[in-house]
Amino acid sequence: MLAGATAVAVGTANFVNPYSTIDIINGIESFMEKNNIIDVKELIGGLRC
Amino acid sequence: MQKKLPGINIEKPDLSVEIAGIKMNNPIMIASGTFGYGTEFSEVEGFSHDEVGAIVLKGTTLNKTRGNPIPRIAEVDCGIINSIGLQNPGIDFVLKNYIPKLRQYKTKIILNIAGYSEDEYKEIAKRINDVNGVHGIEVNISCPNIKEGGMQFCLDPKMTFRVIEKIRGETKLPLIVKLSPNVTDIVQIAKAAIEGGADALSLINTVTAMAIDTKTKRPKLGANFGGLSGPAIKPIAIHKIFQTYQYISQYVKDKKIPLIGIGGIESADDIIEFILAGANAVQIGTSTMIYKTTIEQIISDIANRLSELNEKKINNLVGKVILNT
Ligand SMILES: Cc1cc2nc3c(=O)[nH]c(=O)nc-3n(C[C@H](O)[C@H](O)[C@H](O)COP(=O)(O)O)c2cc1C
Repeated sequence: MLAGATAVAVGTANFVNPYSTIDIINGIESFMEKNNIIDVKELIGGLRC
Repeated sequence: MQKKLPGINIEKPDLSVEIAGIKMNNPIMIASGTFGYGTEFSEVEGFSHDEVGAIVLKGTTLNKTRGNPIPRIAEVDCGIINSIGLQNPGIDFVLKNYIPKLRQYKTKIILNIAGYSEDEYKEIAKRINDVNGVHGIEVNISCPNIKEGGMQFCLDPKMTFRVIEKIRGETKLPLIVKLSPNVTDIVQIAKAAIEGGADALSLINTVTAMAIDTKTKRPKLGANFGGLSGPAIKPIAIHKIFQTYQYISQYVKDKKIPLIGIGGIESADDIIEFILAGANAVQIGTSTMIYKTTIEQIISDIANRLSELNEKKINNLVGKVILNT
C-alpha cells in the first residue's frame, strides 16, 4: 500500500495457510495500532523516497 | 577381476566447455559485480581462482563512476536487491592496475563493460584491444542510452543491434552480450544481439525490484529501487534460457551461439537444470556472497551427478529437457 496499492489480493499463501487472509487482516490492524494509523487509506502511496 | 564399487568414479566425466573460443575447465563462471576485480577473493581462505572456468569482472565504464547512494543492497525473501550504480574506477585504471595482477591465474578473465552511449561502449572496446590477459568481453546492455532519451539499450531490439554492431566493429575478442529479463520477449533482443555480431549470450541480469521499510515508509535502497538476484529469480532465468535456446536451435543456422545461464544458482543441481534448459555454461553471483557451499564442492557434485546420469560429457546434456506433450 505504501507503494501505491489501494487494496491487495492474496493468492498462493492460501495454499500454504487457509487462514492467511484472516491472519493478514489481523496483522494490518496491529500494524496500524502500533504506528498510530487511524485510517488504512493513510498508507496508500505513503512512500517517502 | 576388478570390482566396480558403487559411487566411485572409474572415469572422471569431462566438464570442459568452450564458449565463443574461450576454453574453460568447467562451465562455472563468476558473475559480474559479485567478485570485484578478483583481487579481494585471493584473501578468501580456501578459494582458488583457478577452480572456476572463468571470472567476469565488475562492470566497467569509460570514465570513473562514483555509484549510487547507500544502502546499495537490501535483503528480501530468497534474494537480494542491489543498486550499486556501476561504481568503478574506469577502463584505463582497470586495464593498468587489475588485469596485470590477474594474469597469474589459469582461469579465463572476461571484462564486463557498460556505457551510456554507443560511442562510450565503442571506445571501451577499442581500449581493450591488444591488452594481454583479457579473454573476452561481456556487454552489459542494461544501461540507459543517455544520448537517445535515456531508455535502456536492452529494452529495444534496434538499440541493442546498433550498440553491438559498433562494439563488434572494434574488437575481435569473444563477444558475450548480457540480456535483461525486464522485457516482454527476450527472443527479439537475443536476435538483435546475434545480428549485431554477438558470439554468445549470457542471461539473465537482475529483475527490476523495490522494497519498502514499513516503519520509516522509505525504500530500503538509497537509489529507491534496484535489481533482484538470488534463488528468487532462478525459475525466471531457466525459462528465458529455454526460450532463447529454442529460438537459436531452430532459427540460427550460420553460427553457433552458446548460452550462459545466470540467476540464483547455488548447487550442482541448479547448474544441471540450466544446462538441460539450453545453457552451455553458467555464472554464479549472489550465492558467492553467502558461502552455503564452495565452488570446489559444486564441481565435484556435478561430476557425481554426471556419473549418476551415466553421462561422460557435460555438453551432452545441453538443451536435453524432455518436454511434456
Ligand atoms: C551486488 C551485485 C552487483 C552486480 N553488478 C553487475 C555489474 O556490474 N554488471 C552486470 O552485468 N551485472 C551485475 N550484476 C548482476 C549479476 O552479474 C547477475 O546477473 C545477477 O546477480 C543474477 O545472478 P545471481 O542470482 O547468481 O546473483 C550484479 C549483481 C549483484 C548482486
